[in-house]
Amino acid sequence: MAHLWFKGFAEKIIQYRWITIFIVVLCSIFLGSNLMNLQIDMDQDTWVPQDHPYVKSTKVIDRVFGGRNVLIISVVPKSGDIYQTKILRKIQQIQSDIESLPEAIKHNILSIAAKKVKDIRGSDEGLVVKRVLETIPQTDAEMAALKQRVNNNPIYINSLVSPDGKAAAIIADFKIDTSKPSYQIVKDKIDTIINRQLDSSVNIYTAGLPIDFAWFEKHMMKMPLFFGSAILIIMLIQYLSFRSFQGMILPIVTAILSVFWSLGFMGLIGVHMDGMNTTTPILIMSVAAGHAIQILKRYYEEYNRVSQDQAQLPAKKINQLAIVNSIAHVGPVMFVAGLIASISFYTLATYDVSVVKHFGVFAGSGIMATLILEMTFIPALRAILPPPKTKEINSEKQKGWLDRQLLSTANKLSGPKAPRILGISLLAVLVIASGSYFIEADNSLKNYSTHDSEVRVHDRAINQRFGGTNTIYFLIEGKKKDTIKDPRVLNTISKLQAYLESQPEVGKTQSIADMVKRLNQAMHNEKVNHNSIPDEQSLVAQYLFMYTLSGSPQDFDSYVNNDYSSAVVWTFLKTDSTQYAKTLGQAVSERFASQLPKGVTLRMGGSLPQTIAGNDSLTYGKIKNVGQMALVVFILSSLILRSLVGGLFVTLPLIIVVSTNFGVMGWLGVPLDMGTMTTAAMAIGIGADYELYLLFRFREEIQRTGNLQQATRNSLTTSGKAVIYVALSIAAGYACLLLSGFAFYSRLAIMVIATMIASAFVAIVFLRAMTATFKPRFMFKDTNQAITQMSLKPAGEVNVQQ
Amino acid sequence: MYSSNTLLTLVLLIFCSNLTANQSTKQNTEKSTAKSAEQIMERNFYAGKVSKIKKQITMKLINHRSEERVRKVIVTSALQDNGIDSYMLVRFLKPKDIQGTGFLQHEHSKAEDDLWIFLPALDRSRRLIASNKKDSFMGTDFAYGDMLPPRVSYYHHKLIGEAVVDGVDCFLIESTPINQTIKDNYGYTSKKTWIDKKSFHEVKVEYYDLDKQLLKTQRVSGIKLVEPENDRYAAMRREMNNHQTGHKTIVEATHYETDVKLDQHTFTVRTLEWF
Repeated sequence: MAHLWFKGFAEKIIQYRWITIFIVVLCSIFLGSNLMNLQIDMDQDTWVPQDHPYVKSTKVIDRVFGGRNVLIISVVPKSGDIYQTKILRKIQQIQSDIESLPEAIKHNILSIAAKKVKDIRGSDEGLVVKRVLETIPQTDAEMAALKQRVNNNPIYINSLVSPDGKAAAIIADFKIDTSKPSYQIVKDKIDTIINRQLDSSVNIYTAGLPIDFAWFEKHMMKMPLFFGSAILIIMLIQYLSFRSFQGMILPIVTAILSVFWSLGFMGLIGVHMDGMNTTTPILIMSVAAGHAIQILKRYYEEYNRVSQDQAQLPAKKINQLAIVNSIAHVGPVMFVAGLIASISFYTLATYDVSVVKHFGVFAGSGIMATLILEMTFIPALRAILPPPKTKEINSEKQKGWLDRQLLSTANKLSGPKAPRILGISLLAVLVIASGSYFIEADNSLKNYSTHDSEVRVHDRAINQRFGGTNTIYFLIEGKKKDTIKDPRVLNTISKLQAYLESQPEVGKTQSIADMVKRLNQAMHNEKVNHNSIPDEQSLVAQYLFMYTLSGSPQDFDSYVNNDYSSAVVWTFLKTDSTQYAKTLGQAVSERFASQLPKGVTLRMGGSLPQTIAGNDSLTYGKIKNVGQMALVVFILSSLILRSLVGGLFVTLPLIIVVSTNFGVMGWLGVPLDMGTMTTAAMAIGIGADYELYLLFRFREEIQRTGNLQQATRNSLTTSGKAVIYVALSIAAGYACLLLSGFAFYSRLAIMVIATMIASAFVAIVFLRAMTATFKPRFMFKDTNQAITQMSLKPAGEVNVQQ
Repeated sequence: MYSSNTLLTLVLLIFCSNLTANQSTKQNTEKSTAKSAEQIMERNFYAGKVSKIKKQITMKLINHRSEERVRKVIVTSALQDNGIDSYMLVRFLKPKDIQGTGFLQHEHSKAEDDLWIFLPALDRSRRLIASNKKDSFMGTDFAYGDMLPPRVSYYHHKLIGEAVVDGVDCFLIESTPINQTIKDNYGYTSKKTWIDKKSFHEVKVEYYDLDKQLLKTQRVSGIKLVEPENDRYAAMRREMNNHQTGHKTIVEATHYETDVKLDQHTFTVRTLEWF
């Protein structure tokens, strides 16, 4: 029934081939015009689930205290300490240059040269609150005084000056325009500022989230190069597969147009392009090439058969019959497979992480575009192009090494050894899948760069000298104003800091409690026993007020909010291990939340907790997501095959592929991240194509021949061979990402290659062995009737109107 | 008959004499403008120098998210004998947790001011060796140098125009520091001041930072003649907007009196500690 519909459809396309091409061109122009609306999005919000508690608290912290895009610049003299006129001038200049950047949050730029960085000191004369570094010391005495001012204030040690005095830091916070987020712009400006100060006397290092994102962006920008390489590789594989110019060009035309259409569609509906989706064009291109290869393979097959059976017909007529026949046979399965893949990807739009949603829409739309183009544009174009030359046909039908291997495999799979092969395959799958026990989620941006990369070298250099380049924040919130001035709250904050600083990877903490303690000590002539929180709230309030007499209104803005109802403890970590941060967060919550007065809460936020949120979403969300996609595949394939067992036959191998995908990740130590998590979706989306093409072809062959071995041989050497071409194309297309030098892409490439091998193996070996072992009714039920029918009317006999 | 050469010489002479006259007029005008700008600023400097005044003031500190902090204070101030510098005693009434906190300032326009702070919770006053002219005044957006303006001679002044601000006819004066030290001490590369032509009190001031970027704008309103015999005025409302941070401070006098009894102890640490 479906065959007839597709046959009629193909005939119409050939009849109206010029109109079809014209409509496709119009659509391309329309979607192409929307490419200009496509926005590049580096907003870090797109990478994390917005409902996660850590993300919510990070947003509150960012809104009130800033600190979302913290960058650390470290000035390290090559000899001596920082207390040299030349070095201090550099620090002062960097501070001033950053302050003049429009993206900088001026009151959150800290260095010893910052206005709000003050020396608080008590003396017999009174209380001194003066800037640590206002004018560059010119004499030894002035320099010694500066050193003393720094050392008097422990809050600055390990954060703005290294404990040995041999490095200084400038900590800066930036606003990133969320309508057009780009970290590369900020990094470029910072580099310019730094380069002006770089000379033979210093090393200057930069680290922090804006730098990590800027590197990501930089690698993203190389994507067109990898995309181009992927096109060439896919073309080469197709040429080697078909040994024909048309065989090389037509699938790539579909592929490129599919990417073009889907990008335009994204621009049209306002879905942004982000870091994760930079590789999606390669995916779409590979899938499109895959479908094109399936139909092309069938086209050559049909062309051969028609030219043999009806040799009297003119070449043009044979060409048209071959086109119609190939669409009549492959069209239904392509439609079903494409629809399933597309819907599977679209289900990702329900995900709580924007980049994954974008990926779902992009990939789903790309496959839909492929489907439309392969059913309309390509047959119309092929009907216009001259028919393939005899040489092309001969070389395509020539049996090579791959055919021999497939025939040998088919013989084994259709013989008595099938159950054993199935058993061994299952065992192998179980062994591989057991690797998923070792799988770890890790979305660390730093770890995407290689150990010797500039970003990691700089990060290590700063981590060695200072409190750390990774930040987490503990937010203490009260319901009433002035809650933070309560000595019980301040004492808990102080104890919390002491606990944090006793932990191995915590380099530094800062809070309003530090300032209160420092003021108390200064007001008591620097007596060490007064380095504590006063007992009375009014005294705390008066200390804080006293400080503001010589400070700016926003001096405490990074520690406490306007009405003193909430405060934040800045915590610098030397590690970006999310597991460490998570454990630390839990320990802090367990120990200190109960020590706070009633109504005062404690929660964690910051860049690392946001990463934890991303990981949590991956770990829990992925199971949900894979289940969701598998369900879609099961329902749709059951409906198409009109059999629940049929649905199971398609879905089970996919579950096996996904399990092996996890297993390979575990065994190879490839972490689960936003990129690698999409390979499971690909395994289902693309793996389903393999299953369906092979199942349909096998069913067609078994119905035609009634012979298991023959059907297995025929299906493997046709659709099976195409599956191998497709898997090879996709794997090779992604393989060029292995050269990116950026783990986000190379991990993705490894997993796509592994997934393609697993998908092809499961479709060709496992599914065939399953079929031969269980002989499901949905495939074998009409065998005899079909044989009868086939003897009366050979396949491929269709009519085409000129 | 004049020869052509003689004619040419005559024409040149006339042209040159005109040119010289023009240049001389221009120089004279510039000189008189400069002089009048300085005179205006001189008048402005003294217009706010009230002999003695006691004001109840509400200070509103508003951040870029429009969150407000309110402080209520009583300010008593008086001119020192030099008629230029002031004494100032500030007592905080609100918020409650800083009630009674006191602040005493002895202004020294040629040196660092003397400052003391009294904290009732500690029942002790301490000298505050802290601020210079560009530092924030009591945690507001005003700097000490904005509250008690510098001597006229510290800046070059230029009358750059006239304008109407909030219905008030004003001179517009541009002031630039005379040297680097003044620039560093006060933290501005230039200021633009709109001065009321009648009272010579400033109505609006723009402050430009060391990068020549607009840093703050002060708007002054409710200017009252409080000391008619000396032609001295007091502003009832000042609003300072920091354009770079989005923070602003509004200072409003809700009550004032000039008939204040002051003695030699009013501006001493003893009085500061008496609460």
